[in-house]
Amino acid sequence: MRMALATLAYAIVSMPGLTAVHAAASCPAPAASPLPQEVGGFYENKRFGFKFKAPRKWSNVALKTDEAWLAGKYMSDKTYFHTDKDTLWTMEHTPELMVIGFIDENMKKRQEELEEEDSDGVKKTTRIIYNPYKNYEDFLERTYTGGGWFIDDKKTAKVGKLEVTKYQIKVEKLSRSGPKRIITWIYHTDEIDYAMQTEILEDEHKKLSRIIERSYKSFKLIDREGKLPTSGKTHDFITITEMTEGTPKERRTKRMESQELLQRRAIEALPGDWGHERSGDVLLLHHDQEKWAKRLGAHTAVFMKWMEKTFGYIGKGEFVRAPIIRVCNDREEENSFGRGARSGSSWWFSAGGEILTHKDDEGFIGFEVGWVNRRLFGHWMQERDRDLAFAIPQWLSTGLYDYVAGARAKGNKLNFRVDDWDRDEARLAIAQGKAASPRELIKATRSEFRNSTGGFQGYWNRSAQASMLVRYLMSKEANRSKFSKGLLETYMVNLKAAVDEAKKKDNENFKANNNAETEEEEAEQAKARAERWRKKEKELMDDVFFRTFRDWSDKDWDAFEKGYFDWIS
Amino acid sequence: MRSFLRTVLVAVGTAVCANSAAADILLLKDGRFVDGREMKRVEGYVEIQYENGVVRVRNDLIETFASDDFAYAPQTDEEKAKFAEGLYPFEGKWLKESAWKKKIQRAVAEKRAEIEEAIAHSEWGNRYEEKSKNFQWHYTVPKDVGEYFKLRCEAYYNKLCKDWKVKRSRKKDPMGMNLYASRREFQRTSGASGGALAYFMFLGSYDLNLYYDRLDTELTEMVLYHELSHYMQKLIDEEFRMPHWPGEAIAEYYGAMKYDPKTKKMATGLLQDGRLAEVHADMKTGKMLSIRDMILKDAYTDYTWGWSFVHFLNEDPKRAKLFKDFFIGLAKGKGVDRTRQGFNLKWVKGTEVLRYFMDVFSLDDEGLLEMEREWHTFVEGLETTSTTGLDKAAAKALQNGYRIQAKRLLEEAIDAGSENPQTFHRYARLVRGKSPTDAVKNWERAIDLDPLVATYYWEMAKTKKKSDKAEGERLEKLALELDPHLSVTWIEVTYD
Repeated sequence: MRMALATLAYAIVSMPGLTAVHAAASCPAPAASPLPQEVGGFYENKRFGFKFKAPRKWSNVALKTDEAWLAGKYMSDKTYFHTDKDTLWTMEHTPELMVIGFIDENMKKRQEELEEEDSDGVKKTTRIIYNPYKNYEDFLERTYTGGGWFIDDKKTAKVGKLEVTKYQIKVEKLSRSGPKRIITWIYHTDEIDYAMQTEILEDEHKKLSRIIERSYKSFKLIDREGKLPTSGKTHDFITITEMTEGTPKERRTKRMESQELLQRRAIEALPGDWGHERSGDVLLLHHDQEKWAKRLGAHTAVFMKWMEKTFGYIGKGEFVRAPIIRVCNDREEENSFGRGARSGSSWWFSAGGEILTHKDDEGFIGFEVGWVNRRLFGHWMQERDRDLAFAIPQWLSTGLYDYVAGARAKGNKLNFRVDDWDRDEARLAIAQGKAASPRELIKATRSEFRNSTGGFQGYWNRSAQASMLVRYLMSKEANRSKFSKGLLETYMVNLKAAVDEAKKKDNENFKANNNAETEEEEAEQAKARAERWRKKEKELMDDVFFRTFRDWSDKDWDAFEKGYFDWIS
Repeated sequence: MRSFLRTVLVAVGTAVCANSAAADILLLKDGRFVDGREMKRVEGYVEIQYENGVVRVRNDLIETFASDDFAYAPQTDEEKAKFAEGLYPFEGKWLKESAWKKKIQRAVAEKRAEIEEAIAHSEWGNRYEEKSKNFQWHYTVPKDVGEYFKLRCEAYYNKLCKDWKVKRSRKKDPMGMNLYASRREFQRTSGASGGALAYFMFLGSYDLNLYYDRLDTELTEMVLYHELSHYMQKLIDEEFRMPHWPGEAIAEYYGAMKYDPKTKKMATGLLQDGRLAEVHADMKTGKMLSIRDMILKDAYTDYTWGWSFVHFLNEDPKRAKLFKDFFIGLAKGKGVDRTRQGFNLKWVKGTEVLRYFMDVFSLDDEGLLEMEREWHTFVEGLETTSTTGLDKAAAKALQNGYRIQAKRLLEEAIDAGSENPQTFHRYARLVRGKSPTDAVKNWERAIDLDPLVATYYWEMAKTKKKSDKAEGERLEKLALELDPHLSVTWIEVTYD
């Protein structure tokens, strides 16, 4: 048996604070604890054991499913404005109140070791270094993104029988939405410190501070019920490794388990005024937007079927976990949902968990549905073939993401809206004789695509051309031409083969090129390595190009390009 | 650098033995404080007692060790003889015990007041706020550190005002200079993102933000002068935004300025060792840059190759004058095609910058290539020899993956007498795999040079653990005591 030891330690992560892969492993199990409720004008959180009266008309905001630190969140019913005196820009801001629970037990946890053995008998030890928030200031330092802040005042007082630390924090430099103030009171108890924090515009400080402090003064401890969200491996989390290794049947089983787990958790953690429903393969969670969610659900069900039908040759047979779409009441609620403690959610998002959105003021044709489409596309591709999803070249990924963004369901069909800007930019480039030929676009590496002539404007112009090229390859017109019919599929299949080969070669090269003993050898190897990195992507692109177009003559290219340029014009 | 805080307490050194007292305060010359720990003076050091061990701070690093509870222990024969007569030393005089105690008590009280004042200003909410002739200062570093930078920034401003014939508008408030006591405070309070060392806010009355790196004052000065150059470039024409090249390259060139305390003037034309190391590393891997590409593309190379080109031009007085005409002309000269960009600022496209450059230097395509060849040869011939330069070159070599070269450069820096603890730390990290004993020796040296850096204990602990697990664990705990925010994380994967 081959013996190996891998010791891993990881970057700063907050509680549950684990590795990217194991992030959710220590998520609390929300199901075991009662959900917060609004009772008699009070927000009651029995799990953390407190209640308070939020300012009148402020609305309760949902917390993340795997939330371990935030114990409550409210948003003002009013939006305030600040105009910058230098730029004369006017920015809006909605005050937000959060309750953060600093549980003593969470703050002491430092590290643990997990031992695993893979199918080859390789033993792996994962050392998990916890880096929980040490106190409120540490929490603010690691989570606050609204600008540079400093403590303007800090004092202790007593509210009822409880010791309280009162903070006045100013946010002045690089402050988004203008200078702000954070008013925080921390109620200290033996087991938990409860920090009530509200962010407001500095301009509104006089007007709002009394309202906020009145709310803070209403804070009371109540009897706790259920488990506190303290850390600890729950053994019910499935890692990406588990879902991508083993036989197809094992992978499918693991993914189905993961899907069931994620969905169950998401539903159980919903606040009382949130609803949920399933539509085809998608789970939708919604807040006061049932009608919009239903329409979005119907659309996504059609979209996911279209993905299977159009790209079914990618990762054939791999189970795609159903995405979860969280439809917030409005943009501010969506933004607010994402603010607060950092947790395993960042992994969860990238692994195809929740897609956050809200009802778009511009209606179904607006940006939001396009955004959801992009996320669904990315999720589906990664679930089917992660290596391929990350290797798609810039021209193709730009084109595909732009293409799916325009998709809208009508009945059981998807219609694809053309982006006017892309079309006009591409047409203009052709008319001015500045358009890149499809051959150039298809061969361009990421760096060539981004950095060739024309600076920023040139990049946008090339993006528009790439979008139109992919749109053409997906069109009926392309299907009628012998050159472009099925070309996208052929290219993708060849890309997959090239990626697999390059990966194998890379591993061998890495082992063979790290043995320098003199400075001269080291310089030579570095030069070769630098050259290899420069060439690597180019080689991959050339390889795919060769595999796909090796039989094409210049005449064929001319015919293909004529078909494309005629179509676009 | 710190002068006013140097006191009799340091001068009498080992003679004053302060025993443990809760009120002990230790102030280092670079402005750091240790407070609330048991401390005692031993020969050559002050020992600070932590739960997981003792940290020894060398006398020459200490500005002040203030304690109410002191005793005198004569060291030399003369001191012993005088002590027998009941005499005690103070500022070169021999005093009777009661007078000596009074003097010491007064000095301790004064130092404690100074230290407490510095602590009182160490939070941004209670920062120092002062005006110098041309700047509005906000800082949390000790007052004398603030004074140090005020002096230099005024000299810098005067030099460039004279050289470039610019001056600030009296209609605006003086520019804000915000100097933070640590990188952590800088990121938190100024809102700067992770990688930023400083930033210049080019709107309103302008605002410059940077932190004081006590481990690398030279870097702090370099970054300050770099950002200050952007302000001076604004003063050429406040409605103009200098293109990335030459803007960043000029900023790097003036970033290398040095203040001469004797003449109270700033010197220009010094080497940017770190940047030179980067250019040399590029050359080694065959990544040569043309003048044309440098001017046409906004890229990181504007800091490295861009600096070397400005340095090259300024080494020749005739070219230096033309270059000044060129960049001032870009902002306000005639015959330059300017467009309006973000914030309605005037700007010049890369193609126009190149055309104007060739016009000012009277170059055709061949002339440009000739200048390029001359520049490349010039840069190739530049050498880094100072210990600081060797340190920086080694750091850059490491960053670029040249471990053997980095090891050689670090050894040269150490042989040349480097007193930079980072040099020993880097060297220890390089050799810990093959020579753990050597690595530990170098960390011990780094700790001797700067005993309050938790990372050195933390990293040494990893190596120590292999031979002495208990000692390694103790050092880890000590590191976390020194810096509870220590979030050092790493990945080590080994396969058989």
